Amino acid sequence: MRKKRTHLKAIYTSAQALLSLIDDILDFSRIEAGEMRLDSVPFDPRALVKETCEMVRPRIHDKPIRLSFKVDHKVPKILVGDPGRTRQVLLNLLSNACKFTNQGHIKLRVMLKSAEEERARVIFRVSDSGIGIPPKRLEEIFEPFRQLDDSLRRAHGGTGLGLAICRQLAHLMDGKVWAKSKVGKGSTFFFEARYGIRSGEPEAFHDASHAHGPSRATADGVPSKDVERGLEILLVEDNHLNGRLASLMLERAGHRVIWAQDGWEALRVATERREQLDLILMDVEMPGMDGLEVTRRIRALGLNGIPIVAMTAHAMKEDRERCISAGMNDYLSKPIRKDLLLEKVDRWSRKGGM
Amino acid sequence: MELEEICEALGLEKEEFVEFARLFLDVAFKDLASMEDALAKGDMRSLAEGAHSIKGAASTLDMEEIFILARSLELKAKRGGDEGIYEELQALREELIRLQNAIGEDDCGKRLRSELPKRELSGEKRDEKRSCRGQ
Repeated sequence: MRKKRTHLKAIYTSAQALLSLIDDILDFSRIEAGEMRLDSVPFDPRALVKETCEMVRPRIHDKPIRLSFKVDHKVPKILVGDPGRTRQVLLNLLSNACKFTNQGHIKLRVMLKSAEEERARVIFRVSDSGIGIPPKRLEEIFEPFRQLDDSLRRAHGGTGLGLAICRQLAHLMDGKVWAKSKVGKGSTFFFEARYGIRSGEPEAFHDASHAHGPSRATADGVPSKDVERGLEILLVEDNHLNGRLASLMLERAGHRVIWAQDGWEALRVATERREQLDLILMDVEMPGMDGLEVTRRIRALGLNGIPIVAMTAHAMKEDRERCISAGMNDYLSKPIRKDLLLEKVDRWSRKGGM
Repeated sequence: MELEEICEALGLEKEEFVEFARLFLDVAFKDLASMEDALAKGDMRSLAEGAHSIKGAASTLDMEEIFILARSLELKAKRGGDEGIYEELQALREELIRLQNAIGEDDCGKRLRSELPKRELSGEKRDEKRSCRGQ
């Protein structure tokens, strides 16, 4: 039995590695072919950085490493750009830091390099106390399929495409990626990109997500509402049957459901119930304003602390990325099934807001 | 999926499932009428929306034949052509009527699924049926 489990785990790990390789190759090919299109949507860089750090934290749970982040106060509270691709670059840099650091620290700092009327150049700096990189190899690591050496590749995995993709994505964002390092002391990677700034909106965006987040998680992720007491959930679903069925499932589990049947109604409810809502379940494909657009508008209204879970029949990586890029936190595959729905609701209610 | 399985997946009693199937039929017949009207007007966007609505609900209730037809209609309407759409709308109507009859014949849903007569599917449709699970 144990042997079977080990084999299954090995198969799963191999499949994950293969999927990751395919994703990387697809991304790389798309950029090379000039087919990569970047989003231009407002997002909160502080929330993005925090969320990205939380995503990599499990990778170092068994190492004595302190992972921290800091966003300088001069960095605008809202940037306009592609949050999904920004996260992709940061995830890559942080993942590398996790791989090559055995103890000490990993720090992510976000700084404003320059700001004009409608544009800002932002630098993300990821530093670690890891094994470091020899000076003459510092440029090579950004070339496709290049890694420090085979033993490291075997020990830490990876395709050797991650940093090449980061560099290309940074170019697409009118920026760059570069590194400094000392062998045995650690490495520092810099990612610079240009974003838009929106005058007027930043304060509301930031304040709503951090200062006045009413019924959601506190900054340290402790849920402020107990799922057993029932949550207030905005269900955005244009399909009558699916809406009724999902409402029934949620209500039977003790939750309160507000069902919006189109994007405009969803925006109205989200605005009016911003203080009470714990979670939004968002159908993606709706006539008129689709779920992605509704999400962008909800986030642009400053409602950044309410988790939004996409409900979509399209579960390809690109579809998921589009949801995340639009500002959603997670996705749920359709058709709706009770266990999966309640599991997702439970997960986000415990996790709280971003 | 058997009736018991789909009821469990949806958290419904069999009687409740039948109620949802009835609700599905109410909405689907209205959607179908709108789609026929849209075809007559050459309004492919409305036709695609109607098909999308039926497809979503059919997928949830695991009504495979209806799902396949609705998906095909939605794709064709989105592509803009009207070739074969009339025939598929007729086939969809037939499927809905078969479901309606199955519900009418069975007052507690026990035989609902097993009594549904299976359509003879072409090879292509059979392949589609296999691949439509989980969508």
